[in-house]
Amino acid sequence: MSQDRISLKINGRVLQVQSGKTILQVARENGIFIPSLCELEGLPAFAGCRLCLVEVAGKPNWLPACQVRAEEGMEIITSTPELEELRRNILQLILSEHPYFCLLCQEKNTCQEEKATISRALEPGGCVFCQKDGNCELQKVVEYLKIEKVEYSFRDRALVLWLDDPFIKHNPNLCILCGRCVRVCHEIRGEGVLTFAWRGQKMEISTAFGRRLLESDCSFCGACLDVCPVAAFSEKGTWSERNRSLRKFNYLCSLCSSVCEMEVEATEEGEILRIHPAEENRPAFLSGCSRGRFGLKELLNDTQGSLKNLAEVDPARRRKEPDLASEEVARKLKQYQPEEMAFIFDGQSPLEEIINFLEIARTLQTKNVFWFYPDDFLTRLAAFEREQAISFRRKLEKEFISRARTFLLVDCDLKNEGLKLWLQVKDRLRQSASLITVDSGLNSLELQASYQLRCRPGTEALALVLLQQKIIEKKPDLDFVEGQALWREKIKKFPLSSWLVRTGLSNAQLEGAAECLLKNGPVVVFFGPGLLRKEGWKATLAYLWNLATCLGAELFPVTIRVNELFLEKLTTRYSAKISPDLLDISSKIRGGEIRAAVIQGEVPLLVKPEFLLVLSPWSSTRLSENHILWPQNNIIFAGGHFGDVFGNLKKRTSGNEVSSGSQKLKEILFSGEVSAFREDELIEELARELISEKMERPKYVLNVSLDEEPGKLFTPVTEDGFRDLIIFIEPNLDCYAGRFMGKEGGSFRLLRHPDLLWLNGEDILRWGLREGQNVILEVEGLEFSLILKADRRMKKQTAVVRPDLHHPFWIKKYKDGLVKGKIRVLKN
Amino acid sequence: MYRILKNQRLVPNLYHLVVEVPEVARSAKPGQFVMVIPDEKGERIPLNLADFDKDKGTIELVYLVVGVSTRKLSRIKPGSSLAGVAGPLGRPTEIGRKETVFLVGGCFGPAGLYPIARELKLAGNKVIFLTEARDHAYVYWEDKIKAFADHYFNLFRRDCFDSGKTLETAFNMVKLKYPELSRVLVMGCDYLLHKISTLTSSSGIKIEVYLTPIMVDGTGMCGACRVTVSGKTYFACVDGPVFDGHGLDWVEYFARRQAFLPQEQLALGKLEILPPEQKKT
Repeated sequence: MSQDRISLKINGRVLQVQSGKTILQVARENGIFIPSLCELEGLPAFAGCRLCLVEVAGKPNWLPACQVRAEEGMEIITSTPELEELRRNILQLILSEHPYFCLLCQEKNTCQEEKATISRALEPGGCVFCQKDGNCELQKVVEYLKIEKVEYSFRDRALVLWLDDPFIKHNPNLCILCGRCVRVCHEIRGEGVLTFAWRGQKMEISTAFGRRLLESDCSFCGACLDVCPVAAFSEKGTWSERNRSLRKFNYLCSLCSSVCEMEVEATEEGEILRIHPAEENRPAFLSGCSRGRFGLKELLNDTQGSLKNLAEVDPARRRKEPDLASEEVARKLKQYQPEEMAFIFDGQSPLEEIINFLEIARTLQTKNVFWFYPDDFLTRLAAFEREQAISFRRKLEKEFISRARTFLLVDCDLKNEGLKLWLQVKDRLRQSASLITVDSGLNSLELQASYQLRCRPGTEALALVLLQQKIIEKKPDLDFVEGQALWREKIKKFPLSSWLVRTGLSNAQLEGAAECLLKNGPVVVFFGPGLLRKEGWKATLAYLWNLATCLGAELFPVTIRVNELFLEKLTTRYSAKISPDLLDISSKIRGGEIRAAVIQGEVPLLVKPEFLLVLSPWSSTRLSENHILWPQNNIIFAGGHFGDVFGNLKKRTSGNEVSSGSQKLKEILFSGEVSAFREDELIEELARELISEKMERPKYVLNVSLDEEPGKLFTPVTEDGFRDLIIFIEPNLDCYAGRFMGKEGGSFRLLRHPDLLWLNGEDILRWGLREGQNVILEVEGLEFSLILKADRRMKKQTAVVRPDLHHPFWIKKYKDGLVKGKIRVLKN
Repeated sequence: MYRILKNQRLVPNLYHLVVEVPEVARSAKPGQFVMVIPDEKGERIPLNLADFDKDKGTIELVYLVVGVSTRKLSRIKPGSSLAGVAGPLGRPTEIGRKETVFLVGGCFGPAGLYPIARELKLAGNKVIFLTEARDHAYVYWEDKIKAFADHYFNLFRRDCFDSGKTLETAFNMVKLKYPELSRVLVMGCDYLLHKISTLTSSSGIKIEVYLTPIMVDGTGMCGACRVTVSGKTYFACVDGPVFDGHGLDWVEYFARRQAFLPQEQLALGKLEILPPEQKKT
């Protein structure tokens, strides 16, 4: 878009503005108000409400200001008696299908006092019953246009309310059909769940075939709630807060590496009413997901209450205030030798908290410090980097994405694993960039991709080699970097035709993808942790490196969990271990090697040591007489730094006034030395370190040994039937402080049940099963009861589980990435 | 059990419920109410009888969805049954002879007044019926009521701001047209009851309001529904639900009705986030 400045006149005022903007944007920037209901900054223009019509000299018709670009020499008039009359008439037509009576009623101010029922009925018949009262955009426009009466009688559309979905309810009778939800769902979030259905007077917002949201592809991101100008889409369990005093504070969600800025609204008693993207974070619909928004709310509202009564409910679970128990803790911890102690912490805490923890361990001279993440993605990656003397870029600059024309996702479900990253990529896709996925499991972005290379499990490496071969075929004169001539010769020797069969890919798919990668322009490659959990990952990663190098593409590892990039640095510095093998720790405890442990969050220890101090907002761990629980809200709302997927540090400032558990521990253990720890400086240093890695990627291909077959093929055993499966174990992100959110009460359980087994719908039919059925999954002699769930994106004979990683078996298997198993129907 | 034959949305937020309760239908009289328990874990809520059929053994109720119990009620499908229905409760409306009676109903009121209008008309009274609603889209049972009314008219909220018609002008019009008017019966939201009572305070006409206080058992045991009329305490469930609108202590009445608003909000929020039942396929 050109950066030229143009001059135009609005209401007689001469304005110098940048070209390429719409009239509405120009007017708004210069403080000229034009009413609008369907337009929203960040959303594509729609021109649906027609309230922003303006007069442009020389044009025969009125023009919608939200869609028409400002041009040189335009003379615009935003308000004339005729235009105002027109707008009033349009608004009256809108109002005739939206309960508007309170808007115009003279008694609206007095009736509130005598209203004896709660402020929210099923269908609000007027503003005083509506949950958006005082915050409604329609109210504002009515006020601006000074509507005093509505000429048309009210039409009750009598549409059926959506009340069966978790979190979100929809009242189509309040809808003004501005289409914001449809646009945000389709074009911004890329879900495409909401759409206009029917025509004319019958038109309403609906899903395909009128299915409920739970049965469509909805991910419950809640963007429709953020954009709805009225209360057509609203959050369940909330109501109008006009007459309530609420506590509001901002906080950074640390559930995943996106680190979204959210706003919490809580009652004075501490119950959380709503968590939604923060107002300052414009546009708000570009952040937030079902986890941080609804799941966390349910989790906290559920368990905080139970923690308050913990001591009364179960005296064995001893809960002690840090102040009362500090002497006891200090005395006990000093009894043990450094090597007899273990410190296990949760990576979702603020970095300061973790540094404290590491400092305590260092001062106590214990080497047993563990970071409880079941994933060791970055450790593996770092090992690979050392081995090959290369380095991957960690810090992701925005211009890489804004420049890219093609995105290649290798085993990376960006929507689930890096939401903010995905939204930026999605923005590029809208501007005609293309997306290619290489995945063998369940990838939620497959339907959005131009080319989906859905290979058989374990054959990702083969798929990458095949793709590269196509590229070489298409462009033999590709400007090769160091070692490429040799590499080209090697590739030619691979038994490509047989590999094609084994990967299950078609020639046309590969051709198309190669064409796309070559022709479209700058390529950015993302790969997820799943790639490094499969057998033969080193070869796969080397092939990926070579592919990216040949294409001149940028290559990024996508971290899922918050702080991951920074924790990698921290743990190296303090020589802590990432992802402890819990079985190993347990055996050490059993053997008497470890006798005391300090745990932050919820870490599933099979055997409890003699002394245990748990710093957690909950405790489901069974505690005995010698064990102490310090209730700790701070890991959820405490201020501190968090590292996100882009390699940025974000600071959470406000929070509850709860003392930090690790800070307290530090104070009581070595009261004099507290000031010696300098978290701020350390954090600054970490940030600098990450930025300094912004070096050029070396341009040479890696040598991959030909003797080993790349990516060992993983075939299902079909000895006794057809229900043998390859099972992908995927990370479950729905955990907070080691606690699975879907296990708590409320609707989140419906959405993210921990015990779901995802299968291809055709497989389910073929095997005479049905969705929602209870089945037994048999893996290596162990049995798990799971619920079947169909997904068309699954490959045949493969399944996905997102298990609760508290089970040591799953932790062990998780690291392998793929397992074999079989299912059978549970007989009642 | 109490089988539901019909549970249907009449107008926004108002539902029409037909239940098989022969024992109530047999002895019900106009102006009485029943206590309903929507499900096993539900609370008891009082609802006005909108109609009853001795032969079929059915009663009809029109209820406004405002809180947890009515929300639960609105979601029960015809064919299933209610956990409990007790009644008829309260004192029936006095039916005089050759009187001119003005009935004013708003919200669920027209339905509750319908059997009263019928009884009054059959006893030879002159019935003037006013339905107060926001707009025509909120009016129901118009034809049904017209059959038993000498004069029926609607008053719309939007008329207030369109043509200046208010409750006051409507009342004055009726008084002018029927100077013999001796009795006014009002059923609907508290705002309507209060409004009409204030309007008519100097007219000398007897005004009877159908109160809807919070009730627990509906049989005079708990006293939750106590109201003060002319300095004397009454229990709305056994002494009412009809009281003199001019003598009622409205301040106390509103305060008592709003006593549990925060709890009601909390309960409604909890009901909403409960996982809905899985659809059976």
